[in-house]
Amino acid sequence: VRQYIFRRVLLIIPTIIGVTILVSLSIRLLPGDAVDALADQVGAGNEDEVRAELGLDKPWPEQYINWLGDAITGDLGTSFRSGGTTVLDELKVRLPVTIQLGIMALGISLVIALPIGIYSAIRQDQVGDYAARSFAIAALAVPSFWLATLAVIYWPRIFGDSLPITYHKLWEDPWANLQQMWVPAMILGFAVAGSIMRLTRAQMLEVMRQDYVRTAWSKGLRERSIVTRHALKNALIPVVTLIGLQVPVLVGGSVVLEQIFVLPGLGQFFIVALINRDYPVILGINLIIASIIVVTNLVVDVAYSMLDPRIRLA
Amino acid sequence: LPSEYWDSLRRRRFSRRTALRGAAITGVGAASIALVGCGDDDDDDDDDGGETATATSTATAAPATETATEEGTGTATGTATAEPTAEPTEEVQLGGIYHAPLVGISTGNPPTLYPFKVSTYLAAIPAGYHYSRLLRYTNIVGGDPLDYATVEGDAAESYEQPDETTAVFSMRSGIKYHNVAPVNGRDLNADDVLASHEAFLAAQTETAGQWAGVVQTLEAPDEGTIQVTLTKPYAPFLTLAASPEHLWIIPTEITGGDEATQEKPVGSGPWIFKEFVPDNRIVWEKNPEYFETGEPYMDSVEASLVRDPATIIANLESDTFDASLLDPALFTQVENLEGLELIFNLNQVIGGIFFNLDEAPWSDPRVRQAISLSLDRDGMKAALDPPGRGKKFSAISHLGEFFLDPDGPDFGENAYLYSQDLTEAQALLEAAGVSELSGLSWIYSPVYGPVYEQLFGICQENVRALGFDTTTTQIQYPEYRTKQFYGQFNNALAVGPLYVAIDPSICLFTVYHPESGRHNWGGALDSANGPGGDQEWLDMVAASESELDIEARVPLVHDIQRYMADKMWMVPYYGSPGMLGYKSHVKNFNYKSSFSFGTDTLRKVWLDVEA
Repeated sequence: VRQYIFRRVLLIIPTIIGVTILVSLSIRLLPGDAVDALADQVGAGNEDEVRAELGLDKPWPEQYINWLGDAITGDLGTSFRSGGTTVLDELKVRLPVTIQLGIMALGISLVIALPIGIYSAIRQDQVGDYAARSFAIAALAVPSFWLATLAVIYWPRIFGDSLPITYHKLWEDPWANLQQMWVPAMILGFAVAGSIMRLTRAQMLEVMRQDYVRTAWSKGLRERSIVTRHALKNALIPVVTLIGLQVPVLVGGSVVLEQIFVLPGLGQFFIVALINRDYPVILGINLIIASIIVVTNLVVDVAYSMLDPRIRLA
Repeated sequence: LPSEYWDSLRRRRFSRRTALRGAAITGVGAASIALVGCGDDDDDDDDDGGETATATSTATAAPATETATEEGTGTATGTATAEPTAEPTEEVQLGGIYHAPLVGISTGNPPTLYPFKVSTYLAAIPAGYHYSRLLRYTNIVGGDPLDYATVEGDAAESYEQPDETTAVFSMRSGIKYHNVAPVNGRDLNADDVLASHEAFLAAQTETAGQWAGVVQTLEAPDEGTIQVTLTKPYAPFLTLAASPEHLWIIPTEITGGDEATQEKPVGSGPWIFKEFVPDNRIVWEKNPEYFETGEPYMDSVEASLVRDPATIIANLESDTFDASLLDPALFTQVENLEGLELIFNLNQVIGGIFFNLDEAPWSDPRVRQAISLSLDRDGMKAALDPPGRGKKFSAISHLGEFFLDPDGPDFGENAYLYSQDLTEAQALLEAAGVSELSGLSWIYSPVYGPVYEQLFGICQENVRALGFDTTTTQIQYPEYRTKQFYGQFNNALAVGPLYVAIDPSICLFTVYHPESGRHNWGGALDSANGPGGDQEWLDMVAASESELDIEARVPLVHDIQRYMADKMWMVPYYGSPGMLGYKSHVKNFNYKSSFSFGTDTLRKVWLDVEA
């Protein structure tokens, strides 16, 4: 296993470099460059000077290698727009917000999806199953931004106060932080729960038809024991994969929710950076997101071997 | 004489305000109207801003009395504030936190907190809370939110214009900066003004270029005096000096500091900058040493960086927000919100359809007139302005008496060009030898938001009715701002807002003049098809901006608008109004539609925290 993990860690490096190369190239295909976006800061006729100042006068490979060299030493550069703040400093402030939202949403989605998925499978074609499947379809079909808007509008009408919009860091004021975060986390979690619930149900149905489960029934074991001790562990293996694949979904979903719930996460920062062609920010965020995704995938693969000893990682 | 210009203008403004009192701003009760002009507050010095502490206000002036006081100066000088002359009818309550979006649905992160660096409202608006200017816009109850010509001293105590090209500002003594490092509460001095001026010009922004075109030198003959020499007689100079897009007074420790220092504002304005949490909020606290003694009344301001309309409306509904700018398209959603008072003002952001004037058929004024005739401005009003408080634009936006309403009785023979008449439009096209055109691009930037996109869509449909087949081409702002915005496009029409106007001459120069930093109309600067090649128009603009007599200047500006209707270098769309909502517990809310809202409006606002 160690050797496998070591090889996968080594593979992460070219993967991430590949992602940053693709991103770096693709943003330069967009019309207008960073200096155009800085028109309000650059005097007429100074464009070339500013371009040189930002290092944008060099050929793209040189620009990229310079960025990569700095990134390896932990220097992700300085935003063209944020008044001298380094990208790393911005990420330090914003990344925890998005990660917290993602983790909370994922936790909520699992709490919702797993019990419902299991219940739906063991009560197949009964009223509860139909209700659970309807719930899953609704979770998949209803856009998060719509739910978020409904929540924002109707919360004060029902409860008097609007949802909090003043952000507090988790480690500074946990109660205030959770008061603001739990509703967007619920909404994002609801969206993710649909697919997890459906896969859990499908896997459970498949496993429940396996011979060893039938044997367990014939031995007279109780349903709870069959489900939790024998069926669930095997049924969850593909679900773990799906959970790993939800990371980009959570990051994408957080963009809109961060705007509606006024959360200072990565989403808005990234959108504004794209509009402004703020290359260091775009590359920095992509580097972080890509790293999270590949590391999550690695964790998922390793988790496989723990859930199912038959799987040989090596 | 210059002084006569300002005195004359002031008299006109105040008399009009008196007439509008109690009507223009519907939500302000009679009691709070009487509080306007608060200049001093004897008792609140001892109060640190306890949330419900009450001041025994003895320093309020009713508008009529203030008028008399200001007119009573009767000299070439402008004074800092009106003297208190009226007893209050309602006690100012000190304290409380004012909570509102920084802008409204156009909120975004300030790209910088150093306002000289970038010409954008997102940088100017925060500066309006913590920095001072030489002058500021006068703001009284019932005043016109778009009156930028009536000014008063800010860091300057008084000002005079001894001749047509000189302005002298006498600085207030003892103005203290906020007690925050690295400035640590020292006195504001003339060196700060000089250094700010140098830093402003060094930034080479569009607004700095605009200033440099008017201001030849800025000097400090002594510690308490700033003398400005103008390049030419310039009627709107004092408006420019009060503009929150131009000369902020920033301490030398900040202007001379590094980038990180410049991003930590320390000023002398009514509010002390506390924190900026990107994408969430900016917070200011009351400046207890503010030179307008007793002001501001509230303890702090929390400006949310929220722009989602549903979130804004929900927070207004729950009283979390005390006020917000709103778009009139949201009128039906907010008109019945309990305790929400709405203020409307005409639109100061001129905009419309613009062209590459060196390209056929747009080089022919008849074609441009036909496009104007195709626009259903009444339809735009019905769709985007449910309260019906806006007006059509002429060549400029709605700037008080300078604006000549195309629907008014005085516009003249070309007024018809601002009403939809497809038959006449087709006749003009026929005369110009233009029939159906296809393959045209309809260019705009989505940065202005969904309401503007709706407006652009209506314009596009209207133009299609002429047989001009256009395909929507959205251009992201970076490219748009540097190319299409400057008229650099072919086989296309572009549409969008062009300028937030504060004065007709500044507007005309900035939007249309070939010497301006921007020239949204395309084509060569001196092209015979554009304003740069029209000597008659250039002379008219020069004459209007150097005319210091208001009585004479207004008709000059009207003539320019009549003239430009014929030329139609830019085809203006309908101007939806500005709409702001504030809750009834917010008192003394005399709205000035200004980037310096934090100083001009908010320093005198108080909250009825017991309500």
